[in-house]
Amino acid sequence: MNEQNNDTQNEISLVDLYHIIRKNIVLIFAFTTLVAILAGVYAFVIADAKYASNADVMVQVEVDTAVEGSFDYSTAQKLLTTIAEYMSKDIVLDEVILDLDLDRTASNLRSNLTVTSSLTSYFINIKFIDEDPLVARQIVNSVIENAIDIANGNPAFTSLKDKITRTSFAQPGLYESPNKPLYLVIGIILGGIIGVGFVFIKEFLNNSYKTKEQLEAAFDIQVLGVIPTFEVKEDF
Amino acid sequence: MAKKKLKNFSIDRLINGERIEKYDYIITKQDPLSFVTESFQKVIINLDYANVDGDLKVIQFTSTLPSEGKSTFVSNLSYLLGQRGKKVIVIDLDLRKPKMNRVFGSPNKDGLTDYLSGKVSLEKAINHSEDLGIDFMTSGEKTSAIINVLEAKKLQDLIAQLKEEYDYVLLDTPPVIAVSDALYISKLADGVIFVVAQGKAKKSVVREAVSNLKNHGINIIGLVLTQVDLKSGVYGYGQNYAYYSDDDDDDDIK
Repeated sequence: MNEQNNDTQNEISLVDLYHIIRKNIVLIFAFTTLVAILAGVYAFVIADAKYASNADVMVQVEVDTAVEGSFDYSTAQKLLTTIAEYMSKDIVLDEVILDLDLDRTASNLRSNLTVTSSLTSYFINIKFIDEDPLVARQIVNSVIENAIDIANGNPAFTSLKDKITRTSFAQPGLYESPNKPLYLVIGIILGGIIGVGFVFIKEFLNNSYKTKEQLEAAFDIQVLGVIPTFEVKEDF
Repeated sequence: MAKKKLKNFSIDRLINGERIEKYDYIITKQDPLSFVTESFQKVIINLDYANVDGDLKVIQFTSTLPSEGKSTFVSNLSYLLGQRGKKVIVIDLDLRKPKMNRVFGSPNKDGLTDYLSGKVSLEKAINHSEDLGIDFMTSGEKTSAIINVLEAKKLQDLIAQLKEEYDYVLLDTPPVIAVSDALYISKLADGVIFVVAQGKAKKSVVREAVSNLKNHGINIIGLVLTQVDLKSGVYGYGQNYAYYSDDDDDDDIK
């Protein structure tokens, strides 16, 4: 078994790795280019451009009457979270669909709708991503409008009555995705990794003798000579 | 490996049903100053060291797989040995896929099997290549009784007789893995030179082939690494090879 031990010891060195890469550099470049082109085609041709539009509302938190300028922190926190959740509930979104006569479901709207509340401010941000920048604006505005109307008009939501104030109107959506340069860079990096990986796998699966030293180490028999291949006549 | 050329086309060969493709195997003759020729010269020097007592006269050449460069190696080596004033005969013992006839550009008739079956005389069976200055024997008519041929007493006697007449009797034989021919032939030979082509056969298979030979008590004179790609980087500085020391060669002989 000594033979095999010698083999594995002689198998890999930095120089070998370098030679493997250098020998297969064309293949690696081919992989890199291919994957980069695929990523580029996806980013520039296949993927639809998406636009994001957003607007804010402010939550009115009742000031505690006992201590001036203070409020019940936990109630305020719950109110903020509740309103943020309420914004993307079916009761609001169904109204939006009716209002705008959209051919979509509430869950479809919800998946593109992002409502962000913060624990350090009273503002809630409503963002909608759509392929049409104008539709994105319409939906954001309609969500806020309907949310306020329902909160103020529906007796079931008395705890939210007069708590939501619109602080800004949505503008036509701005370009959101895909991030073309990022896709390209990822494509190039991924292609390079796949290429190098493929080359190494290919090289290590080709587990054959390549040098005089490997032969000598494996068999303990002298190597009488090393004969170069002579497909092409050498110029001397 | 070698470039293919159609040459020596003649009516005679057409009639004999032989399609002769002349291969340019003998690079050492075409290009005596090339690095390849230099590599072959080094093999001969190493062989001389391995053969100080001169008891290695019948040398068998085999490999793990087909087309690892055996025939090319044998023919070039035989030419260079001939150039050094040695009396050399090459015998094509690859009865399944004979190749020497093509190397020497001669029809594969009146060869070894024909002599052994008594169809032709020894004088007729031994050809002389004016081109290369060596003698050779083609495998002859194909036979299905290959093992019988290889075990024949007449073949033993023939080798023994040639051993007296020649400085070197070089035997080109089939690869070890596919068929057992090489093992039978090695009983006739003084030693085996095992040809390994770079990056061709898997290590495990080469190991199996070599240990197969060793298990049969066969004297492996040495290994030869052929078809080495000088541009692959491993031997990127091929010329440096001239400075490799051969000091310990004799110790390695088994």
